[in-house]
Amino acid sequence: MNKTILHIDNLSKSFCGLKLFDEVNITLQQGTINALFGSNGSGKTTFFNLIGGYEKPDAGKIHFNGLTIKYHNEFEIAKAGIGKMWQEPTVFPNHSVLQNLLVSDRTHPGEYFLNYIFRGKSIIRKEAELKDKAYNILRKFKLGNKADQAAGSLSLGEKKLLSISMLLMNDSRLLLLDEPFSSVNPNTIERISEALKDLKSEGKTVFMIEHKIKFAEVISDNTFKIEHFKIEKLN
Amino acid sequence: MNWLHIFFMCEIYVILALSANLVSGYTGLLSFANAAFYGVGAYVTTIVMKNFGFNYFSALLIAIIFNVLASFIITYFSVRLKDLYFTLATLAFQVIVFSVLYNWEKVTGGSYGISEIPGVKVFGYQLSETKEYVILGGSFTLMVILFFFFFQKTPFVRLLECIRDRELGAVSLGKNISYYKFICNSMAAAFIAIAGSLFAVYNSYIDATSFTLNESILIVNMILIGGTGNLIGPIFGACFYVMLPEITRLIPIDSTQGASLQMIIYSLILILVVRFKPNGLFGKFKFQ
Repeated sequence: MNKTILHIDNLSKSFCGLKLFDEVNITLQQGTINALFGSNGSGKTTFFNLIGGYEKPDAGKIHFNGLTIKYHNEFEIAKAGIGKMWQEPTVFPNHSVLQNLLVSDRTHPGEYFLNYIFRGKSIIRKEAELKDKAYNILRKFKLGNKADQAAGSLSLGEKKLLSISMLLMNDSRLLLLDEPFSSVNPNTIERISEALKDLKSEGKTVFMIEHKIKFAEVISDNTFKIEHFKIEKLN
Repeated sequence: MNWLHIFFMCEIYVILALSANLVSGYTGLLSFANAAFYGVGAYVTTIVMKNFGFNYFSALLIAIIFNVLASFIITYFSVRLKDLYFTLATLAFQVIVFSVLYNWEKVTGGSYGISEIPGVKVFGYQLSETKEYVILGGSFTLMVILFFFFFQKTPFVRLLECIRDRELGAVSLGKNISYYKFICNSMAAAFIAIAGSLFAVYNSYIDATSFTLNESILIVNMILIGGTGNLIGPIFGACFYVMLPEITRLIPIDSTQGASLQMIIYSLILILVVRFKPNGLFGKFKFQ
């Protein structure tokens, strides 16, 4: 049995008196792919925002690896290992694909100003290490030939792949993916599916919102559906 | 035409424009508080030198520390504000600082300002001629330019640019946006203190009218015309704005009309640049 990575306990959320979730309970295991389905406006994205700390629940708790989400800022939650790919991928358009990956690492000493005074050499060393790691990830996601291309010039499917690879570079343990298969061609769907299976084999947990149920079901270990303010497990 | 004086003013404005570029060009925050920090730097240097007998370099260090602390205050209150709201907060700070400088007569001399500011002594040698101040200002400007030359290639700036382009994307990667805004504003305030202190000792007289909102707008115009997000844009913008009045003086019209003509030329250039080169003449980043 895999270790529990996310545990949601009696979560409730309303907007302006309109109930969205009522005492939702979910548990996700490490190293699994999970899909969440639901009609438009049922609250799928809000649910992911609650897990990522971008919205606060009215009641109930979300536990991620011993961390209680509602007591932390969104960046602290991301730092703890919950990475999110937004419906419109938030890649950095003016930077190259490689630079997008380099900036995604959260241990880079070059991102802390005082390190330039006290740890100059470690910045250079780390930059070289990260480049190696970034190229490996790009090759795995078949983006190696686009390393020097501006991220803003990629197709939507490639931006989604880049977003997922950025989460991998970030060492996220739980990846929240908002519609990874939407608006992309079948070839890219295949590439994204392969990437997600790879992530699973590395012990990462994937939780995705998807409308393309047949593609998501094929690779998912668990599927969930939002209905009547609850989230039910389908299989 | 005193070219040495113009050259010195170019040096001061290059430092100011590069500092403004750090906040606006790399972080994407439009600040109208640059003249306020410029004024605080000038006044602290002056007061510390004149009232407490410190030498220039010690006074400069104190001015830098004072400016950084002042930047903490504004950043603390505005760091969570976005875009226009941040700009409005800096505008309010600028107005408050100007009012304090203009009205706190006991300390700042109020509308009379402070005169007879002691000059700079370097290893016991008293600077007195303009060319000596040009060398001093040039040394500081060169250091600032070199700093930014190396700084802009660092992972730190890469991250700043990413925050500027997609703040939400940076947050989802676990970046503490507030920390980076704090650092940028503090660094800019520290560099602006250098410009303020040079201005004070060079003129040997300061008053609050040199640090008005108009001055802040002028600094923003420099980086809008030159362009932001790199080195050449702010340097060009600063030199251009300092030189333009001298160039318009060559036009054979009387001085009253000349001043109006300058304003018309400034405005026209700004309109043309915003319309046809929204990134500025050499810039990498367009304000949204």
